Formats: sequence, C-alpha cells, structure tokens
Amino acid sequence: MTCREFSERLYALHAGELSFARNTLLRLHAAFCPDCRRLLDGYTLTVDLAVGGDTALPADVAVQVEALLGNLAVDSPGPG
Amino acid sequence: MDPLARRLRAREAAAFAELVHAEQNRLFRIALAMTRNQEDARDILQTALMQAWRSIDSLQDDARLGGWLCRITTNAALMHLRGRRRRPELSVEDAEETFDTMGHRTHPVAPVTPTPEDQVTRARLAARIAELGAALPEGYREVWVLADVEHLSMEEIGETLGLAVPNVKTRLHRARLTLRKALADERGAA
Repeated sequence: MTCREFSERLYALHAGELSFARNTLLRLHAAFCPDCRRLLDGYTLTVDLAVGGDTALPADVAVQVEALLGNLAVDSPGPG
Repeated sequence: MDPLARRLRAREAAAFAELVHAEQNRLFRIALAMTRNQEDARDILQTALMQAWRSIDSLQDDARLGGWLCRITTNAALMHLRGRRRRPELSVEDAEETFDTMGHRTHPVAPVTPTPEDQVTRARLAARIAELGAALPEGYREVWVLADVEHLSMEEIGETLGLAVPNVKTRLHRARLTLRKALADERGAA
C-alpha cells in the first residue's frame, strides 16, 4: 500500500464502498502514515462540518413565495 | 404517473403550491449555499419558481418532482452567478496531490486543525467551509452543495445535474480535497 493508492481510494474509503479487507488495509496504512492520517482526518472533518442545517425560509421570503403562488393561482385554469 | 405530477401537468396552481411548500426550505438552502447571500438566494428562488411553473409542460412522466425543482434552482443559481462579477475562486488543480514513482507524496499533508474536538474551532470551521464552498469553481460547487450540504444521493445528483454517477463522485471528491486544502492553508497562514 502506497500513499498514492491510499489517496486514490480515499473517496471510496470515506463512502464505505470498499470491501472489509481493503478498508482494513487502508486504515492500517493511515495508522502508520502521518500524512495519510492527516489527509483522512481533514477530509472527514471537511465533510462532517459541511452541513446545511434546517434553515427555514426567512419570513420575508416566505411572503414573497406566497405572493408568487397567489399570482399563479389567478392565472391557473384550475383543476377540472 | 405520480398524482401530484398529473395535477402539475394540468397546470393546477394548488398542486404547484403543494410542491413548493414541501421543497421551498431546501431550495432556499441550495441557493444560499451557492451564493452565501440572502438577497441573491431570494432572487434565485423567485426566478426558479417562475421558471418551474413555465416549464411544467417539459416535466417528464418519471421525473422526481423534488429533483426537478432542485435542478431548476441550481441552474438559476449558476445563471445568477455568471451574470455577476467573478469572485476569486479556489483552485481545484492546486489541491491535487503529486507522487513520485514509488507512490510517495512529493509534498507533506498539512493538518486542518490541531484540535478537532474543540467545539469552538469546529463551529468556526463549519462557517468557514460554508464560505469556501461558495468559492468552489462551477461544476464542483453545485455538486458539493447537493451532496455534502443537502445530502442528495449520487444518483439524485447525477439526475439533477445531468451527470454520470462516477463523474459526480469525482467532482465531489475534488471539491472536498479543495476545501480541505484551503482550510489547511488558512491554518498554516494563521
């Protein structure tokens, strides 16, 4: 296992797409390779912290959306 | 065909409102993550909803309605950003690692943070990642937003952006590496 091979499989390792044997091999490599461990840790942290949260629509935007939908309803032929 | 889709195809405004109410928070988050600007996100959402209403006739029989709106919103955000003065973008190429013939790195990997368990640091990093994500180049930014911010599946992103799944994964991986390097560079410069 080289650092290049580790780097090439980093996405699959993080995504859990690897076989148990391959996964173990890569994690073993990272345990003994400071650079690959830093790469894996930083990659994982970057993914973990990229969260959108539950941001609700701001009230003014919600009003704007309702106005837009109201205008569509006026122009709509409606069901039936 | 999905009953809601059938009502949409009949241009029933109430059906459209039903769909918008179910998806509007996510659509706004996508626009906000793409631009990091509330005013821009508001404009993009309005544009996207108008475009969606006008293009209902193009709705495919088997289309996922949420994905259809995500695609329109993502495209509206990209068009909006193209019309503006370009902001500095992160370089995806600079984040690519280089190796010698033995497979060893030619440059060491800088750490992102010395104390990943430090909650204050994590909160700051999360805010910084959101800012840096909006500075990813087009082609990577939208994939990253849909995958790591909105947690759509690779298949959904592929369908939404018209990309093959392996291409989605490659772009997402390079986007993540670019963000990781940007954070590490900032930490090194601090």
